[in-house]
Amino acid sequence: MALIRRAAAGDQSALTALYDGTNRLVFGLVLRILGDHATAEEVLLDVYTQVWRQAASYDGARGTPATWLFTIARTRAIDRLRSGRLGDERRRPIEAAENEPSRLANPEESSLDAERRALVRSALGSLAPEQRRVIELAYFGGLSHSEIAARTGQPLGTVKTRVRLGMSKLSELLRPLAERQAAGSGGQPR
Amino acid sequence: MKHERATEETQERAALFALGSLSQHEARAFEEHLREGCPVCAADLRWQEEVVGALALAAAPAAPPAYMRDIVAARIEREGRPAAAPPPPAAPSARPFEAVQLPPPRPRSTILPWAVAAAVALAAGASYFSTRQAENQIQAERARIEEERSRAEQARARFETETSRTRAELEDLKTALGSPGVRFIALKGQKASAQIYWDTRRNRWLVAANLPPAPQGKVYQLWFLPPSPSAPIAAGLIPTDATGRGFTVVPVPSDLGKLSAAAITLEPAGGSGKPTMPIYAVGVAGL
Repeated sequence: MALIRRAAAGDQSALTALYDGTNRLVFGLVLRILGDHATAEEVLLDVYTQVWRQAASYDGARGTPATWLFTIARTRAIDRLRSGRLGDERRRPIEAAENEPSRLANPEESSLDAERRALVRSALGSLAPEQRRVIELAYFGGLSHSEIAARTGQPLGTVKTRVRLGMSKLSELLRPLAERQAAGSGGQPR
Repeated sequence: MKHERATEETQERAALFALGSLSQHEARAFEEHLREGCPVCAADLRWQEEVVGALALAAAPAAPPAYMRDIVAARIEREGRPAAAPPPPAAPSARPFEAVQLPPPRPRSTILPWAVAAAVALAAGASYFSTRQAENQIQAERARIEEERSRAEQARARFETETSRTRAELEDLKTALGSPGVRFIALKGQKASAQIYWDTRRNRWLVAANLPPAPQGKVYQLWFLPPSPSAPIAAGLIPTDATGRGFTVVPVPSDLGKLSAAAITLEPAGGSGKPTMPIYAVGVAGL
């Protein structure tokens, strides 16, 4: 949070420090969405440029800095994905990225980060496969509900139900994560 | 219409909105609904967004190449302070070749500190020019050259199979940089830019271009522009990679006479004898 504020004030070293602390997570996300190293590098550059430009508009009340950063990264990556989807054959199927092993063990990664990631991965892994698939197609594939229906061959209503049930289950499973983060930052599902 | 309690339908809508999977029309309608102040959907959306925020952590971390850090730092440097970002330069748009008016060379005011350091290291050539203003301009140009070099470096890392060729390009750039007899031509277009380092001692142009990826069956071509009314002279093709970056070296014919500007056009594969397409980028020789 302090880094973003310093970046907003024009402190370039703050942006570099933010990059150092987050580039592996951001690049991992962008790479997972795009599946192409060179494009992911370009998007990575765009992401931090946008962070630099928009640091002043970051609103702590709307979410954690990490969520803000990931939202920018995902939006950028999916925009790129959609603009390049004209020739679909080049793209790696979204499913191919599932269950891939951690590409690199990073000795600097804090155990807290590793714990949080493990929690999210295991939560996703414990969903019913069809629920997990629709959520991954939406999140990593940037597909709309009707595109998901077309791709999976399921009726739209079924897709929506799976998304709802999957998200609800995830919310339960991820509750420890939410509680550890800023307390009182939002409601929970009933 | 505000909801009194969450239903399957309202939860589905909030979930799909949080995931960005509603159609544009539906998303706008939902935003409108939120603006009306529906507490049920606002609360739903809040926890759905938290879940979506956490999903990013499901992607396996991956380390980008080390040079990306330098590229990010250089980009930020060039951007300047967020609030003080300069408006994009008014660039000549692509227009018919005949209608071209060469823009005057723009003075470069931004001197990047990191590049100034590099320029100091290369100051041997700077004494060649006497005025302070000229020095500033050279330093700024060197900054651009340095940036171009880092781009070439990125390309080199990317295309490992082409390592030797790219090294040769880098060597060429370095050699040209160290030479006092270098003139510089900056080409600008709407979505295109290129830098030409005119190695006057060896009578050649080193061309680094950043262009939109060339469409199928088209190729970028470089032109010498002698003073009007002489016709443009084909200088060579600029091969570009998938991202539109290109580097080439073209010989400057010794019998060309006075030459003050350059232009790039997109031509049918193989190139043309005279320009047939609108200009992508154009620039005049500085200094």
